[in-house]
Amino acid sequence: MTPGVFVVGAGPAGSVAAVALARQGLTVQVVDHDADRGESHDLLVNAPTLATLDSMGVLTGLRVRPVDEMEIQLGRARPRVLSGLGGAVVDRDQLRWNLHALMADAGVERVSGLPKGSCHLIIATGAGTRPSTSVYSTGRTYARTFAGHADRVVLRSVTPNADDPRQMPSFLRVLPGDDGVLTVTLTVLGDHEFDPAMLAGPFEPVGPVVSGPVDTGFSPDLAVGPDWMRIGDVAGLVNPFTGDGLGHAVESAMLAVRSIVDHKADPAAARSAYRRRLGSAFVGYFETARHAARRYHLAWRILESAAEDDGPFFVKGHRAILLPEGIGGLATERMPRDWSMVPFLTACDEVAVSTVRHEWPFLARLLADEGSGAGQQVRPALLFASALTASGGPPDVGYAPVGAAIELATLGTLAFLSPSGHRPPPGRGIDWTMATTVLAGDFLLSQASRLVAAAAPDCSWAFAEWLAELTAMRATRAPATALFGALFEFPARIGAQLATTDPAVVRVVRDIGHHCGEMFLLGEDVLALRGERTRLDLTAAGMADRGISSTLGLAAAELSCADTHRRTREAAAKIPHLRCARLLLGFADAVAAPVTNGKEDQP
Amino acid sequence: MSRPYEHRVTDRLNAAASELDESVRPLVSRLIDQPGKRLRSTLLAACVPGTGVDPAPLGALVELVHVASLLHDDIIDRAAVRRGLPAAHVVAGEERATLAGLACFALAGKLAADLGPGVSMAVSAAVAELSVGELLDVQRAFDTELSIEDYLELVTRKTGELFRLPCVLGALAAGADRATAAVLAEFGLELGVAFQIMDDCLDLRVGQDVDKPVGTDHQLGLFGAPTLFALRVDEDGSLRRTLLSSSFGAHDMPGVRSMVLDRGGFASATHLARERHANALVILNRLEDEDLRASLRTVGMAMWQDVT
Repeated sequence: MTPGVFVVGAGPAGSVAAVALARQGLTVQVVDHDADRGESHDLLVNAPTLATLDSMGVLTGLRVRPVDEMEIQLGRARPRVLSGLGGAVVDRDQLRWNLHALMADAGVERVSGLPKGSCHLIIATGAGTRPSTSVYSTGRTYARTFAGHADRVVLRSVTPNADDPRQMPSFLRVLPGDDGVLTVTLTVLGDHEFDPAMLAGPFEPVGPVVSGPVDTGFSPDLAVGPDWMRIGDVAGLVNPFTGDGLGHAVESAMLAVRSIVDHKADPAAARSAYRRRLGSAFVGYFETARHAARRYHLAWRILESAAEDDGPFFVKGHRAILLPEGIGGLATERMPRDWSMVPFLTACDEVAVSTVRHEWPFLARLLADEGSGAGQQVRPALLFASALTASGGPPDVGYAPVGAAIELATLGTLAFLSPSGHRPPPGRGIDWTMATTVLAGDFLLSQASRLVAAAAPDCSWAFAEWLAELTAMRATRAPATALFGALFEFPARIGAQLATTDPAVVRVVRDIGHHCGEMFLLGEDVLALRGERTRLDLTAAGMADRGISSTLGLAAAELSCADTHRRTREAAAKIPHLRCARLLLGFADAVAAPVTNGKEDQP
Repeated sequence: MSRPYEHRVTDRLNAAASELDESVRPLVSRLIDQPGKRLRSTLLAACVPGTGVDPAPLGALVELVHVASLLHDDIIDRAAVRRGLPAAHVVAGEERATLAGLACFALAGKLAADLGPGVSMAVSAAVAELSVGELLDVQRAFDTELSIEDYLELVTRKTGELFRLPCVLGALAAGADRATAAVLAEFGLELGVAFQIMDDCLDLRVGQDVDKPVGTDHQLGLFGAPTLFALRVDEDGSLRRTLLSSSFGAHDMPGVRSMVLDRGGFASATHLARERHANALVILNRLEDEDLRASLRTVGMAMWQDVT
């Protein structure tokens, strides 16, 4: 008999799960108490969710209006525009109809009764259908359409008093529509009263206010019960900083699907697999801690305080929390996949995330790998792993903690690349931007040192020396190419030293590491000068302000990068192990890609 | 070895600091020249009596970690004065002070690695705990309902850990057995907690000669043990209102002090501190080595007289 799945609720989460499971050959029954959802309005779909929906065929015939920019204004800070969103706006009811049509096509049976003999039970009944766990995590969301025009998504936080640790921020979003209609949504957490008339603004309302409960109180423990799994809003999977629930609804549905497909005949195993996957997928937003409310408030204070800081640490931090993206490698260019690296890099990620997730969920968000593209992103741990293959074999997983340490230390170093003209806020209270820079930096660097001391004690001195060198270079305002050279040189050198005793090989690998750092920085300059998004999310002005620019012009930076790239190729030819040479070159190619893209001269 | 211990620690600190880049060295040197109470190196030396171990290298190491943490603390706390001098970030700017602290942590990492893998492990673990403690400390800013339990957690991680470190390192250097090492570590932690509670009482001292300005923690919304105890019996809410006022400043401190006094905040905090201090001394009774017990008891008592 085909194992059966019973899904309660046919909103986005329930429908996506039902369709995906039925297509995998499972018998799926859905019961839906078609509650009155009020007037339709637009929904923001983020990039990964859009990709998932597209691959399922959900977007066919749907009006998908791409949005690539989001303007964020936190508290009273100056607005900042994040680009490269890759998302879209779609109509809520149209999305729902398409999903329901796909359910019918896939053979999902709509039933009205209780499950009979189903193996797996998925609950997707939406927010407000389970007891709330905390007043801080529940609230209401309001949506209304207006006559008006907007070019981009606007996200605005509103809070009456930043200094009251118990006051919760509210988030207002404006979604650009078409035909002169835009949608405004407001998410209010905590128990304070809200007057929907506030949604009036300068625009003429088109539709009525649509309101519903919102629940951000996710924890993996609450998402799995004795014989069920919860997905989407009922699991409390709403981003507390933006009110976005659709992305998490679809993501959790797909996690449930994968867990059930892996354990078709064993619901208990499927539930525990689901619980585990949730724990790593949603790291950072929702850590269960005695300090949860204060921590939430802290994250928000940092977001607000650093809203005008355009350094890589805070820009990446904002994107990680407000958008579904981690630091995700320092480049969008991907290396060719080499499967032998996957176990090592997966272990690296696990160590890095588990080292910080309980104390600093905010930082864990930065480290969370957004795709399952392990082994492809350009990141320092990959350089380290590539250097480890100088042994002739795959990287030794025993050194994964050192790789994690390198990632943590790189992030810590980015935190310390502070701007020249930071001014503390007026009046009393903590300077959150400054405090976070110092605390997060110290925390990341000391955790990194601890990992090295435990996994490779012989490297402790070299590791401390590396940090000392980076600090001294920063203090003396050493040229930025040298700083980034040193940043990338260490992972390469230490990897080679752990892998081989041949000093000539170590020297070559170290030089390649240094070249990669230089090329990375030159590539940043080139991207910024071309007006494109840089990998560190810096603008040309921001780079100059922080002294992290080569200060070469566009043409000179391109030339210098191409020249370094050529020297890297020559150096790699001296490495005896072909795979090691290939991996290092792949890394170098990805780092230099902004300059060399498309005009590659083949060796 | 005729030169006194304290001077040998200073010599080693100066030697270590000479490795620093000159752009940050003066900020570190001035803290070495104004040594403070040197509690941590004293504690360390008290852990190795009669073993023939020279405590100076480790003593310098724990003081260097302390200097690094002071440089960074003063930035976080926006403290204007340190050891009677303008704080480093006031003199040289926040970025330079941040880098000076960072350089000290890195230098401490190198010294630790020279002294063996156990030392590296202990130092980096303590610094990691310290930064978490600091995080817990700032994230509760303006929380007038912070429970004593949560307060004790942050104090344990913020101050307790840095008192525990010298004891852990001392035990390591002396080659102490596991049981002894555990007792020493516990003693250090407990002593640190007691010490921090008393230090919180000092933040409320008015018009007395202390080496840091009064009321800075309150200014930041970080209320210490006496105030937290007083807030629990703040029936009419007047203390809370004063503390949360946006115009709160040094001029409010005498009023806060008398309100905390009226509500029994000092008495409760002092009681708690005494309890933890007594507890630290009781822990020492589990030590079999009488010399060690006596040496630590002496230090534990002397340190206490300084703050009470």
